[in-house]
Amino acid sequence: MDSSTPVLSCRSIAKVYESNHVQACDDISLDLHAGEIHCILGENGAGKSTLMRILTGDQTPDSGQLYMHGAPCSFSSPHDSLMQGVGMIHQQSNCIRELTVWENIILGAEQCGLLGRVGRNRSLRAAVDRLSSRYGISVPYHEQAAKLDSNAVQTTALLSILLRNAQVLIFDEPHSLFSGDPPVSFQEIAETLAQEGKALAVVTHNIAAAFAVASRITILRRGRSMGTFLPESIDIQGATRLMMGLPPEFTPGAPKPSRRVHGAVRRNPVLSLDQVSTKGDVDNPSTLKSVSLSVHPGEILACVGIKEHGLLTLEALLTSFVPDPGSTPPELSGGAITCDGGRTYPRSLAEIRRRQFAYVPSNRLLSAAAVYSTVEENAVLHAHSKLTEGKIPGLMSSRQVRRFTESLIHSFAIQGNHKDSLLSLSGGNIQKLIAARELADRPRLLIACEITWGLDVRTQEFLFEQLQEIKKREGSVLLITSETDVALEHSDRIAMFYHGRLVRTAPSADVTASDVGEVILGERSRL
Amino acid sequence: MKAKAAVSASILLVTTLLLILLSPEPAASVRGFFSGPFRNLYSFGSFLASASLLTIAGTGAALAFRGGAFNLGGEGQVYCGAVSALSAGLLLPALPGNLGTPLLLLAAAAAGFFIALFSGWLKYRFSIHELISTYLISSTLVYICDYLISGPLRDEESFLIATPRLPEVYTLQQILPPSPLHTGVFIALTTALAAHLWLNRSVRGYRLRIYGENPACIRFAGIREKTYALLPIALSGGLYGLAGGVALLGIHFRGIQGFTAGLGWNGIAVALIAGLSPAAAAAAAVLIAFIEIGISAAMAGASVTYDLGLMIRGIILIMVTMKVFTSNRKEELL
Repeated sequence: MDSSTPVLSCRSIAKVYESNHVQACDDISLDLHAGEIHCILGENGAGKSTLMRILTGDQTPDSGQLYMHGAPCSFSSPHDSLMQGVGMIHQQSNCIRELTVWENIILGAEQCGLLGRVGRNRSLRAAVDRLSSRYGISVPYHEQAAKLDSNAVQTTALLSILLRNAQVLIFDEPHSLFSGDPPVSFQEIAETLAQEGKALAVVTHNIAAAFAVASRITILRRGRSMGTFLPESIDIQGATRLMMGLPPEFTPGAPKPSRRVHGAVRRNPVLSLDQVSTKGDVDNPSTLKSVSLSVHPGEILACVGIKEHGLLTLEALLTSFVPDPGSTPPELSGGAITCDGGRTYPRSLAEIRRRQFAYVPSNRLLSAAAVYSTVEENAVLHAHSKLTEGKIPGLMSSRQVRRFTESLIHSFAIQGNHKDSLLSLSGGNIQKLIAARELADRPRLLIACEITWGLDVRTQEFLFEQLQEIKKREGSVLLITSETDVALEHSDRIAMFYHGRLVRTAPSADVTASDVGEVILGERSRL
Repeated sequence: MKAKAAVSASILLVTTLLLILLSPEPAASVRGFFSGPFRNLYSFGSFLASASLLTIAGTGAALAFRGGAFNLGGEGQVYCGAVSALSAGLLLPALPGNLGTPLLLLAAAAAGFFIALFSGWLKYRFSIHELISTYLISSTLVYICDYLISGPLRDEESFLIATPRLPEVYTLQQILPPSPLHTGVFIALTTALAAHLWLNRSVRGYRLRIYGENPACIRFAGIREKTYALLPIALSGGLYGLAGGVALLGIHFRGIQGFTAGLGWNGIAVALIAGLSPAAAAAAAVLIAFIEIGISAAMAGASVTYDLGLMIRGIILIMVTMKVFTSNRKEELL
């Protein structure tokens, strides 16, 4: 480890949000050295995002000082920090959807011709091409950014930051893959960048992933630093305990005695796909090719794989829902989907909900939440038309609305008030509310997509307990997730997708994470 | 609420400053401006009458904004509402008043409703942005209404370019003669209150608000999206039409070219000052009406030119929009 002056460091950073008096950062100090991969771990609301925003000039600290190469410095904006060599790859896309990928990469660095026309920027293209081949990553330059999958969006952002020659790269909840041919793992890229002498900060809630790449780990809890560790000097359990502020004997995620499905198979499946293929190019990994699976009452079936290898298509197919008004859900080109033992599966979300099927979408913050509305208004999205037993006929009763909301808040331990705007809640609490709303009607089938995304361990555990409840009352859950370990731990059966095909289905207790990994990365095409 | 009061206060302050700076007789102008509506019973009555029309139009504008739609066709919708009520009244001269008046107002609202609905449908079906279509359609309709008033509907015996007067039984009851204040003030208050309840408490109002913020959310809930793509803009057109009808039956009684001009745009200003809340629209309408009356009083009494009056009004509108958009600045998610 380079013990010389850190490239970027901060001392005693403190920040209180005026709007809700939350102390997001409290006396945090952090060093980022050249050549290190510094993972920053913490639950939702631990202060990770705020600290990163301060390090990139998106927010100013109330007190504390930043240093670049030992000299005091300050950033007035993310642009300013980037010009000084600190760039951030955000968790959510900050691509401009209307522009092409190429325009997104060079945005701000482009040379304009007469009348402001963006020129051909040959030298830029050469520079980006060089970066692209050096790291083995590639993006379709001429594609519209709105059409990119999440890995490609992340890759676009990385190329853009590298193009500015940033020395400090901050990754916020990076996806595990960067697009390229073949795709490159985050670990691979991170190690290459570190070898080149760049300083990397990786913000994540995924402890296992952090331990796999980190050269140092800093743990944040409730706005305070719990210490910086070498990965050898602390284990995953120890880190988890620090993150969650738990006593040493507690081990979260310890395998529960898993209940194998008994006799469930004999009954009619709730949902059944028979040789289902979707329209589209066969070479496109996201096109489904002859997928057969069924979900039975009282079981949790997990579909795992790379999102773009059929999971997103499966989600849109089963819900007939795409958040973007311009696009249409995938169409069947063969096979049949049935529910409740042979009935035609409904082709609209209204019908699906009428059958008491519920749905937690993967892009839920975009499509399932009205973030500028209140908690209450969001809570009653499905129930509002039933809450009209008030004094004035035909109008919603504010008392009933409030009671309903408070029951969700109570049963899911959501931190927030019914009249707060949804935006004032932390990400984890927003997601809890979205899940609570779906479960309020005791669904017979829950289609839960990427349910762990952006959640800390404790919230994840809580949600899985709720899924177990569904199972106990003989409801079913279809988990669609790219997080293999979570799927393995919490499902009864696991269906592994690769290139739009269902390669293997197995009882979750019979396979290991590395078995699943091999299948979904296409290393073993058939077992 | 505090923000709205601050906006209103700063508007009055800036108006005063402008009058002091630009008027040849600052003292008289400022006095004229502030005492404008209270000079006599007549000016007080026309102040309230004008506020009622603005309340209805402002409520309409607010409903469109809340549902995520932009209705810039207020001018045409108001005018068409008025002309449609007028035509109905002239065609059916012999109905009893208690039947005729509501029928005429309904004709006015229906005209605005369907004109705006058409723009909503263009958006839904062909993705033609309603910002453009409402404005263009409205601008065309203004000329058509002008033609109807100066052509087919014109009173041949009059020297004015105007239609014959409507039968007395159809007009709204005058409250404060000789001022133009009429029972339309109650229609306005009822409209704003009903719209407020409907928007905030009814099932459809709830869906309209959610749709206005995030249409995907409505589809996600399995609710028919088309209804909420069309409803906000159509309702807004309906209320604009109603405002035109009330202007006709309460104040003018006959069609005169351009007699509702300005109501459409001012409706938008009212909605913005009211923070898009229908209940607050009544208060915001009082403010805008005050400024209108005040400026004409300043013009009449203290040689403030017409151009200066227009300029002050323009500056006020700019301030209003500025305030609204900065206070709604969206914070980053997460």
